[in-house]
Amino acid sequence: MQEKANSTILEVVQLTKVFCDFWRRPKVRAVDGLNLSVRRGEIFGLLGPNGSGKSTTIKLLLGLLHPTEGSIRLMEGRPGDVAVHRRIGYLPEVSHLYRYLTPRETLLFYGRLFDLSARERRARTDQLLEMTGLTAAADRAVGEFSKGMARRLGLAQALLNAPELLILDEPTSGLDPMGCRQVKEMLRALADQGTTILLTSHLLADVEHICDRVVIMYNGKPRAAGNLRDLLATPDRMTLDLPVLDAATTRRLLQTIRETCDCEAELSRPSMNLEEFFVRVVREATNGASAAPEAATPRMAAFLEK
Amino acid sequence: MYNRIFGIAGLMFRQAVRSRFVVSLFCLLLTVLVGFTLTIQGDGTASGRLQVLLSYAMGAVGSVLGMATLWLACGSLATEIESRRIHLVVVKPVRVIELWLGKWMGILAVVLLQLVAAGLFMWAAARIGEHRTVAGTPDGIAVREEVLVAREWVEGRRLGPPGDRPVRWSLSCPELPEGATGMATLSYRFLSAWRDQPPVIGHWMLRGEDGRIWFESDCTANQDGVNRLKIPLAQLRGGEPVELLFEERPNAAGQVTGATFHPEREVELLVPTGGFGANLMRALLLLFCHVALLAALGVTAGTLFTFPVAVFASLALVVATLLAQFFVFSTAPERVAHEHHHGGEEGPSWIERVGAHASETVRMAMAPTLRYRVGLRLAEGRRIPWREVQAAAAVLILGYGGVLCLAGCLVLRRREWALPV
Amino acid sequence: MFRLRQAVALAGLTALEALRQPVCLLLILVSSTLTALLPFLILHRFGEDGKLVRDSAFALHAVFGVFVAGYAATTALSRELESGTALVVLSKPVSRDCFFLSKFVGVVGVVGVFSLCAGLTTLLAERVAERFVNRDGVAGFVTDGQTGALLIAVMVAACVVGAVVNYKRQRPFGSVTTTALLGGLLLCVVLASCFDRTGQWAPFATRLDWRLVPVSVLITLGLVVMSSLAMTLSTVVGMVPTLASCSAVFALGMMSDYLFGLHATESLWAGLLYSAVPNWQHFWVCDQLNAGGSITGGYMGLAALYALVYASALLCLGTVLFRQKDV
Repeated sequence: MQEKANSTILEVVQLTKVFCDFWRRPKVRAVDGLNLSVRRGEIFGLLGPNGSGKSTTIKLLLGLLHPTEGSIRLMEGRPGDVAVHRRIGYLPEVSHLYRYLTPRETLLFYGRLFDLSARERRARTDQLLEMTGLTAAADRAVGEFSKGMARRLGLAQALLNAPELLILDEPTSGLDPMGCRQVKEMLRALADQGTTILLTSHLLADVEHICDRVVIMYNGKPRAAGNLRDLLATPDRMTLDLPVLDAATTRRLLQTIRETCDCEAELSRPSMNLEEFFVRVVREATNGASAAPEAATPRMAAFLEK
Repeated sequence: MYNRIFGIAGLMFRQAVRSRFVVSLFCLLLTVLVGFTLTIQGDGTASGRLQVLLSYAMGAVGSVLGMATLWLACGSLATEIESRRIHLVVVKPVRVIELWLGKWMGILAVVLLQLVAAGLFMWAAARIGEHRTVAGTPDGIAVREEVLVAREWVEGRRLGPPGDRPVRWSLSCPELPEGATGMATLSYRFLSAWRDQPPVIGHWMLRGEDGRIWFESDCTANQDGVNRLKIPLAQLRGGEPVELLFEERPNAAGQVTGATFHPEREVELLVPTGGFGANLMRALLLLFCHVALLAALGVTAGTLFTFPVAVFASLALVVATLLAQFFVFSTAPERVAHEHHHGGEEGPSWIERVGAHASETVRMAMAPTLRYRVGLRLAEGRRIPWREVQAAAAVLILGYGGVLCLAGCLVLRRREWALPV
Repeated sequence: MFRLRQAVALAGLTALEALRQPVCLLLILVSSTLTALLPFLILHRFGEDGKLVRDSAFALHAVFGVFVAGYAATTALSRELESGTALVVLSKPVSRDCFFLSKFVGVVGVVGVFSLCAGLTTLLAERVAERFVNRDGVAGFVTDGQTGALLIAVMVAACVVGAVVNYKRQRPFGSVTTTALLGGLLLCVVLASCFDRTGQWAPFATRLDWRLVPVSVLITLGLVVMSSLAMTLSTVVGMVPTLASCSAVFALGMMSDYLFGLHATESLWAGLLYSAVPNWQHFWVCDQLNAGGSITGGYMGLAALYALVYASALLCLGTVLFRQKDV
């Protein structure tokens, strides 16, 4: 069991994708010699600025593009295998949904593609609609949805098969801070239950909160990779976390530190980041009522709980 | 597998309904059919009007539905690839054949719905036409016995040398339904270059292999147009070979016209074996097979090209198939070579040679697709047999449709879905 | 003035965008190539070759034109509405009326380019068609092979120019090839005027049949009406229903005289439909050229007025619908 937990779910070796023009001349080298391996149960971040090759890498992993060079091993199979697709969930950068369908019909349709029984389809659809806060809009056409709502529905369809590997391309793009927070909490909860998550983002705060390991790409090449804590650690500095002290005590404490350690020490009052503040304000405004789905902490769908 | 195919088909159908495609097409068909019903006059008789109405309506329904289906089919995959909605489908455990079949079956559901509506309209129009005539009057009889009926027919095979008198044919009487009553029709035509020729007076005789006479009658027939002789079904024996004889007799002036029979369809025996409703259904099923093939062509074209290019390519293939018959006539390789040889000039140009061979190849390859056409049979009250419907389904849907499905799946398997379109 | 500049910019962009689409080039190129090949496919018709060639060429002009007009109109409006491009433009100080009408002008521009290519090819193909010649020791039916070869060479050359420019400079193949084709056809007209039917140097001895020009213009007017219909439909429905409806209206309009015209006086419905469905027969006058006939200026004026009234009515309807459209 432990062995399975530490096993590699995705292995990419020297992955290269070159886009050519009509005359087959190389136009863009979108991914260039990428190596990465993702372990079961971790949240792996693929970071980089726009045009760095993150989305192309994802599409290569899903078999939506064919690699020019290199190999991909995905859950003991290859990208594009039907058996592999049965075990993965995918949320694209833009939720390409059928605009004439309602969210309920959308989820029921994708449920059929996973060959779920009618009863199972309906149950999972209801749970996911509730989890993503779309129950009230379940019978409205998707074409009328805001970007954030479409994103929530996109996430719901990615979770429909309770995937072992969840591939998310910019999962928080288009979501409001509440939505971002909910998605991050949900991803963390999924990872805690053993789901492997591979996500791309250029919103570093999102990644910092939830990712275990990351690779940073630029111009198609990996520039840095590793455990997020190790990468972000500053080995020559320390932080002392204290309750608020009066001014005299503070001065004495600083004096003691300077004399004892013979180094410069500074004291500052930590501040909340804007996201935390926003979430607090909205939660207070709704009095923490669970009836307001936009503000509530998402309740995990029952079928996703392992 | 079926769950996925029907899921995709259901989605296709739902999209066609909600994008107002179905209702637009329905209105269009209704306009055309109502337009025909209100405007067609025919030759002034109720049977003539009904015949023209049925043949025009079948043609119009076929053309409008065929065209619209081609548009819909070309867009079914091409627009999804272009809008990238397909990404969310192909990353699910869906095989390419399931994707292709799902799209195709969704389109067929739309076609079937429209065909049922058009069929009901045509059936109602025919029945209203029937009720407007008085049974027993010549027009009423013609409507009931020659239009709104399904008749088996056999052509006579000429016996004896040309000029032999009496003129003899052999034919095999079609199988008769149990306890059949009513009248069979003997249809015959003379070859006439001029109008207003004197009528031909003659005697018809129908006799069995044993020499026993089944039926005989005198007749006065026109030299131009189709002549019909009614024979009671009770006097025929279904499935047995029969000899048909015609002898011209002198008219009141003691003259014999010496009229000769038309070389095409000299004589035909038409025997009623079924009703109009079932025949209409079989005609619509034949049409359905053709439209299903067009849908297959459109879906496969959509896997290869963007939507407008797919429409253009499919239409070009359809037009080339239809025109190939015409071009083969004017540019057949042997004819081109023969004409130039006998003309004593230089040989045929390369364009003529290429055109001749290309059109012959297209004609050969596509000829089976044109074999199962309804034509004028429904309007003329001729039976469209079930075996023809089965053959059409086998050739058009399983044969050609299968090849197109295979080609589409091959393209889809090799396709890079996320390449910029 | 500002409005006018806006409209010109929008119309130009619409035309350029459509001309860069592969299908637009495909339609222009296939229609021109088929027209150029007609004189070689329709041979030995005892002096009727010219008539058959021009009739077939005009038919190609009309049928392909319907697709060009329908496609350009839907890409200009339906697609932009779906993709959100229209929203971006309308968020600028551009009125909806100006946007809609400019798009229409752009579509008319595309139809114009197509018609120019089709018209010039028809003019040249008619000249290539077999005709009886009896002079300078030549007696018999002669096909103007030299002009024919030149015409086909222009098609090939246009594609080569487009490909080379695309390879070297990465310019769009569609618009470059269309421009090269148009230039090549104009050059071909000039060169053809310098030679007689047997290929001898004889400047302006063999004239082109300029009577074909008004017929071509009338077909273009019909296509403009079709464009206005497609634009108006695009405000309500998507691409597929628009194109399907345009094909149907084209078919109905061609049969309008027979279907509705015959009964227009007796039946109110037939009369209404006869007035409502655009009658393409007014723009299809190639039979008038038989036996040396020509199209009179008066008829041209009346047909232009018919097209103007029809297109204006459809555009008014389209403008009203577009004003109410949720972009």
